[in-house]
Amino acid sequence: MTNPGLRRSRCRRPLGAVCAVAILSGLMSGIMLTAPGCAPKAESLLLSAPWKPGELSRLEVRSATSGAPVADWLIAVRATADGRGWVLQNTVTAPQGEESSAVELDGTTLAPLRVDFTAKGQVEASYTALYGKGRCTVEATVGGKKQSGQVRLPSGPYFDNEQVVATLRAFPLAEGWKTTVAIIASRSVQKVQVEVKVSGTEEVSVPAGTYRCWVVEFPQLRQKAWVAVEPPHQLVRYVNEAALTESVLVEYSEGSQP
Amino acid sequence: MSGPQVFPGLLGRPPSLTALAVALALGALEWVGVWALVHRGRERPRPTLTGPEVAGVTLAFVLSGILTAAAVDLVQAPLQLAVNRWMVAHLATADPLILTFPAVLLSGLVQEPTKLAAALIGAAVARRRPGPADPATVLLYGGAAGLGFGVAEAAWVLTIVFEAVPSLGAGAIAWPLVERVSATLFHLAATGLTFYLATLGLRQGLAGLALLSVAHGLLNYGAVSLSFLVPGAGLLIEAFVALSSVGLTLVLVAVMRREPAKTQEDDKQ
Repeated sequence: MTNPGLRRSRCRRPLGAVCAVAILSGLMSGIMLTAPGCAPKAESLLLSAPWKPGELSRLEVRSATSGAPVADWLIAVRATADGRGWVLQNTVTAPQGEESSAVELDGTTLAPLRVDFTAKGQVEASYTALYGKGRCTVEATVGGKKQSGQVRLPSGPYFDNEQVVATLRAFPLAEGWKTTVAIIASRSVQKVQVEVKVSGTEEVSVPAGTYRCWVVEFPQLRQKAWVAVEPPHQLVRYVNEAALTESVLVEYSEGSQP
Repeated sequence: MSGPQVFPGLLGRPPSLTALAVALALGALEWVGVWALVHRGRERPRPTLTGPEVAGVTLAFVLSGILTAAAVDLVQAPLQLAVNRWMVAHLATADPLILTFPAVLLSGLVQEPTKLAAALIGAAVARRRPGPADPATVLLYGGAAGLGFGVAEAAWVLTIVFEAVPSLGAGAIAWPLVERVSATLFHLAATGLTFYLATLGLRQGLAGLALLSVAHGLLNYGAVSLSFLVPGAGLLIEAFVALSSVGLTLVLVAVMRREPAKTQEDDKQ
């Protein structure tokens, strides 16, 4: 559309456009770097297991929009064979299928040592995640295909995705308490550092009873958990705003003395 | 707390007609708006296009949509996955701001060159003579190529959003629509600028492409970072993306307004 030979003479300053874009990029970077709400630095966590071997919690998972039940979530706790650690067993049963995970935890730190996961139904998958020195290695079979992956473990406190909600009960929850933890999503071979904070207390009535609860938030994940203030700090309610689900405690049995 | 996320791909999911129509209307409105800003108070360029020019502009638009969508599916997404896996396996941090940075930056490095390629191919088909482009040419080929992918991406996103309306309600459309307005404008402005700089010469073209690719990546990284830094601040993220897009569009408009528009005399000669 243009005949350069006939163009009028002009003072062309192409660097002006480049400079303007550079300034704009700088401004964008500045806004990002100075944005409020930077995650606080990780602190050491002193956890104390509130459960006993044989403890069972059953939660009903409901649709957050319709309130209709969508799945059954069972959390069982047992001691390891040597009695020095714990195994948290999560089983979620829905019409589409069943997911089950067994997470072996260190008895003192409650850090994950091993995860065995299976999914049956629409998706057939299983994996084993082994937590070693500085690394978590995942060996999976998804739809008959073998896959593997690794996660370099962070220096601060970390928990496996499959244990973190149940392990909240062991956190030193208190008014205004907050910390940063790393969550290792062994099922997707990912990791993310998130803030966990107590935003207050609420009295919550669920089919299993009425409990005074700490409201524990994961703001980045848009998830909230209601954990009983009194021991054994049951997981009373759990809302996943991203997945549009709400889980409520319908049955709880304490288990036996260790 | 969250399962694996699988990118379904732009090409693997054809957009619905409604989403495509909304995206096209959005793109057309933005193009007309930018055209009006560039030519405000100036002599308007001739309103008619020759056959090869129509073919060139159409090709720039369609090719950009197909080429960039293919690049996103076949290059960007696998590359991002590989980079992310490497970062997760080798860095002793779980800070999402660090882990996501290179993968997010890749989006600009893949998308800007393919959009520019579509604009240049369209201009070549129209038998545009070499040399610096006037504002109308920049908006026709650069703008069309920018919108080609912007509209394709918007149609893809809106298809998913429209499908979710029965379960989430009509309110679920608002944010994605606002986001697409900004993103489509960004694509238009970015490709307009890279096309203009490419017509000035190889050096300026490469410098412009590199800078705009990084700016694109930074825009995406800014949005991702804000979602981690200020959870639930959807408004802040949309404001950031909108300001960046409007800022880049104003750069394009300012640069174009410094360029003399092509006149009837130019055409006659």
